[in-house]
Amino acid sequence: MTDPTNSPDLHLLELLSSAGVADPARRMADAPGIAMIVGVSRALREVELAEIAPSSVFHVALTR
Amino acid sequence: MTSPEQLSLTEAAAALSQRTLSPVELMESLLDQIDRLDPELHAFVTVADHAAEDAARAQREWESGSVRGPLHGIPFAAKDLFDTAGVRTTASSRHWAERVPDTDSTVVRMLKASGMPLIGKTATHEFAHGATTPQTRNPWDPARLPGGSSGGSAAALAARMVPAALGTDSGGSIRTPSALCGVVGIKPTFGRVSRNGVAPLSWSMDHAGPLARTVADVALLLEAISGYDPSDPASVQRPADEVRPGPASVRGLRIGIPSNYFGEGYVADSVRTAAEAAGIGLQSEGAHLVDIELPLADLYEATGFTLLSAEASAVHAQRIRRAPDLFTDDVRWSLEAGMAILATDYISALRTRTKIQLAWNELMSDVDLVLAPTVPGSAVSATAPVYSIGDSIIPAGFAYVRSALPANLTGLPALAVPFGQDEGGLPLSVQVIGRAFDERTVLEAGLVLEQLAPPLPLPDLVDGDRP
Repeated sequence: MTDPTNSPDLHLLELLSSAGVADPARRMADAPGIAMIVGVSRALREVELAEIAPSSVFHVALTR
Repeated sequence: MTSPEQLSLTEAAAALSQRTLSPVELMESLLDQIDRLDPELHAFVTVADHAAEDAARAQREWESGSVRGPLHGIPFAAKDLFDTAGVRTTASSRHWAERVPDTDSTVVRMLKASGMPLIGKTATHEFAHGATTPQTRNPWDPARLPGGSSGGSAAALAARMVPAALGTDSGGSIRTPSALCGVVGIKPTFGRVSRNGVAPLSWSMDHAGPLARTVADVALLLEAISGYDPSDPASVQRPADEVRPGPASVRGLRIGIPSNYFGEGYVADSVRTAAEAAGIGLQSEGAHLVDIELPLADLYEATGFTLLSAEASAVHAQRIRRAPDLFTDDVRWSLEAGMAILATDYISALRTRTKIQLAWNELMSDVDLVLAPTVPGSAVSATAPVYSIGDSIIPAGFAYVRSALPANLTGLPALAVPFGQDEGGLPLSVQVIGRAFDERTVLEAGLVLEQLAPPLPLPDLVDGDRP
């Protein structure tokens, strides 16, 4: 199964819509940077993170 | 005699101490300067109604011998993200146009407790979500931007409207405008200074800190606002006076000079030349320069922008859904983009940041400081906010955040210090990044850089129009 969030604009439209962004098609036409920012976040999917336990990033919250 | 508004914080403190200047005279001089220059610069959102009254109270305390310390009677400005009791706090946003908090943010309360009267609130890029502060102008050239998001604070300092100011820094928002306006700013170690009562941008990257016109001035302010605050979950127990610098010295320090990230294609020639001169100067003062490679540098942009965007969008999610058009366009677009970042990608960014922090811990075990350009060029035009470097056209806001991200991702302290001017006379700057909670060494190096740098003249606007 392909990852739908790696697919192009149609899925980004759905994401924006489901997040409650009004008129997402117009927003994307106005601001191509939206796709760029979301694309940047997806680039992190390739980073090797096995040595960083997910719980370790909540250190501050857990120690207060 | 130097006119009072021209005095640095330390100079004003000395004049007050010698009774050659009173708090009321100082406040009046600064308010006159605001009247004269702010209609063109738009550095202030609000001038505090009670500023003159507060200065008069400080003067009575001086006269009665109730002096609380070296900051007593010296006015300060707060970026309009900091809550100020009874004084409008707008975050430069239409969403908060008439918002008046009941209480002070922790650091505003600390400065007031030091005897400092609040002169007013300075402009920010809306909710600090941007790095240019487009509504404000740069005192060095009013056709140019001051940088941001603490652009009003830096512009007010450069224009001699105030000797001390507060800012915040999530992606360079203290250091960038400091650099572009020729003033000094420090982003403390994450946890050193409370963010309670400060409108958040990105809670895992936000820092509060001081801006002023000299390194000694920011050191005094940093000590005054440092300390544990249970209201900020990131706050840590550290003694405030450990930030106080000793004499200016870098003798024996190992200073890392990055060979990557700040290289060709990202930094203008004038900036690279200034940073090299700063390094050579530090070497001549006894520092050892060490060539270093910033670790995992290819991950800084993706990690930083994911964290900033996702967290900012979470902060403003209801406003984006309910009243998106109250945001300025650039902020609204960016917040909407953050709404589409998946939770799993956000958590990957958190983990990647930890990976980056661990790699930097190793780097900083080998060097005491890292020296780098603060920003990639001098201030850009308000009508074309981009840099042309080599074959690249880089949006200024992106370029600023990119240069600042290493210290925001790691939480390490970073000081921006003016260092020279470009061929057009605009100020240039270098940043000094130190080990966690070692602001003292960072500031001592800053004192040395200040001595090495050619002195900055007054901006023409400030000097040339003088009646």
